[in-house]
Amino acid sequence: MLLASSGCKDITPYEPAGSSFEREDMLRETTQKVILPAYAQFNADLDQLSADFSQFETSPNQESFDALRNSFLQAYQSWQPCSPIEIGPAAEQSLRFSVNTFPLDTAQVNSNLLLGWDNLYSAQNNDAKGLPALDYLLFISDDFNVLAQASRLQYFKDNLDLVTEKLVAVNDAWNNGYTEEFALNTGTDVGSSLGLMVNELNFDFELIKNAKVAIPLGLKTLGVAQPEMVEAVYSDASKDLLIQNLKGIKDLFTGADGLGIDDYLNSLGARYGSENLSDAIIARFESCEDKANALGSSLKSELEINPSEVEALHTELQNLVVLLKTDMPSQLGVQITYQDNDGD
Amino acid sequence: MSIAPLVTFRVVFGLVMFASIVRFWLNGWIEDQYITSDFHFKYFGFYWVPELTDWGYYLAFAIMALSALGIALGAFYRASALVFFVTFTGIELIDATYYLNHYYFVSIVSFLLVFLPAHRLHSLDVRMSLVKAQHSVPALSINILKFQLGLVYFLAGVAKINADWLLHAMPLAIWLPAQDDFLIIGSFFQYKMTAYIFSWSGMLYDLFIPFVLLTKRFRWVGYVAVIGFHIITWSLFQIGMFPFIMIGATLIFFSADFHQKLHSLFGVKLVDRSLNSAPTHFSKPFQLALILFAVVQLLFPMRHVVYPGNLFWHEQGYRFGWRVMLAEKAGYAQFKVEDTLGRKIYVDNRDFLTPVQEKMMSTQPDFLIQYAHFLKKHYQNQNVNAAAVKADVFVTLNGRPSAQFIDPTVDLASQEDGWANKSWILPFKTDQI
Repeated sequence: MLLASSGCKDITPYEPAGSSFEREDMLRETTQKVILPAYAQFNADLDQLSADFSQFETSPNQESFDALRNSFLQAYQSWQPCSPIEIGPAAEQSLRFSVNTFPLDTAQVNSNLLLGWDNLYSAQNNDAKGLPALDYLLFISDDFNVLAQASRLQYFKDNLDLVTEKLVAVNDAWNNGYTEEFALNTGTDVGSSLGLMVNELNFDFELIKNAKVAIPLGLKTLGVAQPEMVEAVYSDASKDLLIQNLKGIKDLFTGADGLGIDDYLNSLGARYGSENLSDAIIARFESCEDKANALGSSLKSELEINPSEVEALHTELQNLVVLLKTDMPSQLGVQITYQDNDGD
Repeated sequence: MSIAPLVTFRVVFGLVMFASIVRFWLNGWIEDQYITSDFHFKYFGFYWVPELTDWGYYLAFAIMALSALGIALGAFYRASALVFFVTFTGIELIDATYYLNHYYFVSIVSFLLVFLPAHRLHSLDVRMSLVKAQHSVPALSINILKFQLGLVYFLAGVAKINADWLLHAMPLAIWLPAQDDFLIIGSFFQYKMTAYIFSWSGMLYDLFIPFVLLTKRFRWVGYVAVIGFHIITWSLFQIGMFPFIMIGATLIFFSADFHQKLHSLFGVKLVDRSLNSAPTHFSKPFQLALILFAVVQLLFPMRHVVYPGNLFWHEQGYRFGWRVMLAEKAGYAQFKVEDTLGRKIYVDNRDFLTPVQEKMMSTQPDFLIQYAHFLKKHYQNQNVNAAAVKADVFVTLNGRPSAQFIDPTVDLASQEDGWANKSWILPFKTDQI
């Protein structure tokens, strides 16, 4: 019945739909070129942060304070590419939730500092821990003597330990078997490595769009901007963090200079109109990066003085999320659920 | 006609249903589908079906499982069939997100079973002398099931006669390469030719299998094909219990002799044929009702012809039509709630919907309307003067580039769900795949 309305032109039945692409190769290369390096960098930066913290503890002065602030900002940046990899061990450890839940509940932090705290994992501390807590302790005051107070030093140490502990657990799991498990889980269902990558990449991307941009921009509050809701509000580092986060998601898509989802899409012949879908996605990543780079020195001040630049960034993020949530998973044939379906 | 095929059907259907319910429960899907989200998408005309409390769902499934066993054993058979039909269908009607053609099939069949005398032999009802044993049943009671099964296949075949399926091998050209690590034949899935072979043979299988099963000569060949087809699709796709329902149900096409032998394999004595003589008939009004039922079943899946545009795009008249495995579709919907001053709230769907609900909502127009109504009410309760709800929705169908799905300027919250054509669905762009 629809035959008559067929708009099809050339049929090339012998053309391979998916040449001889091995998903296992893609998973191995993505692991080696993107995932393990991201964790290794964050690990190294946490070590540096820890060393600088010890230095500050022993001799709190302006110099050691500045060094500590710098190594914190470095670690916060190198966390960003880890954020989308909420797969396997990271999912088990709830890594993203433990490391970077924001906005920070400052009332809870202050109450902890005043009254003490037993356990940073308790529900009341859900929003009072991780890197946002360190951001607060380090940047709430420019006077290093504030951080040098005993309770603050302890809170810093406990939070740094928590983040480090979580990361080490994740890193160890990857180095003790999960790398192989990940590489051999070559299916396309929701629990497969590709399925996890696609779903988590999307989840993290929507966190950028919603938590890092839309909410501060006031898109959930009838247009009333909420600059205090940005990530890393005290250090005012949100712009650079956002750029690193975007780059991390892009790398998870491209496999950096190794085989990635983009190469797999190419092998499937996935098109977006007249271009390769992978190229369309990369181009939109670049547009997002351009808009983020175009922001003034900080996301927070831009929200206060020039919100239209942030709106422009949000628009580009919207344009990309369409491809990441519809065209990409659709062309890959990945599932989003274990539940039964009958193919719509 | 001998009751034997009907007895097999009753037992197999009841047991497969029981297994399905246990599987559903053990997979945690009662919680995932009914308890996790407070919001449920509805079928037009069935908004009134009450939602249950958390334990109410578990109770309903427990009753459903018991009644499935009741059907299999022929215990309080008519009541069991009725209870099964009501609980199963009621649960399905609570959230249209999880619509599956085979759930609809189960509802229809259990509804028919309420009226069919499938418990008149080899049943606990007979054992308990609640009903008299009966060795023959009106032919119509078996033929109506053959008709219903045949119709499912035939219309599934008719639905495959479209350009995407036959000329582009879509969506199999997407789904098969994703399964290229499949046992032995997986390496062929990367070739588009394989998708074409699967598409065309699937279409021919669906169209012709009912007629093959009706012939005496080719019935066994047909049944082997039924088993092969369903096992392959079951291994390739997440289609749950459907293959087993069909493999079990199509046994109804076999002769009485076959079924009597089958029963004897399970130690059930051969029927005393002397009791088989009296021909039985349904009353005239009931015969008429069954024929009317058959006509409705034939016509209802075709209702989409009254809507303009591409059925797979707008999905108006799509459900209840035996359209299975026909579309690789994904969507993204950014809803915006506008207040009376035109100020906007951008909605994060994850605040309200499960991932599956979000996926289904993004491609189905009636869900877009329902969600818009929900959002308007939700924000009004939050003291926002919500005046309009609009959405930027993008949908990709069978590998085409994602395209805007609905008019982004339309206030979806002022649209009413219903059977009228939704003119705000944008025309389908027939881009080359």
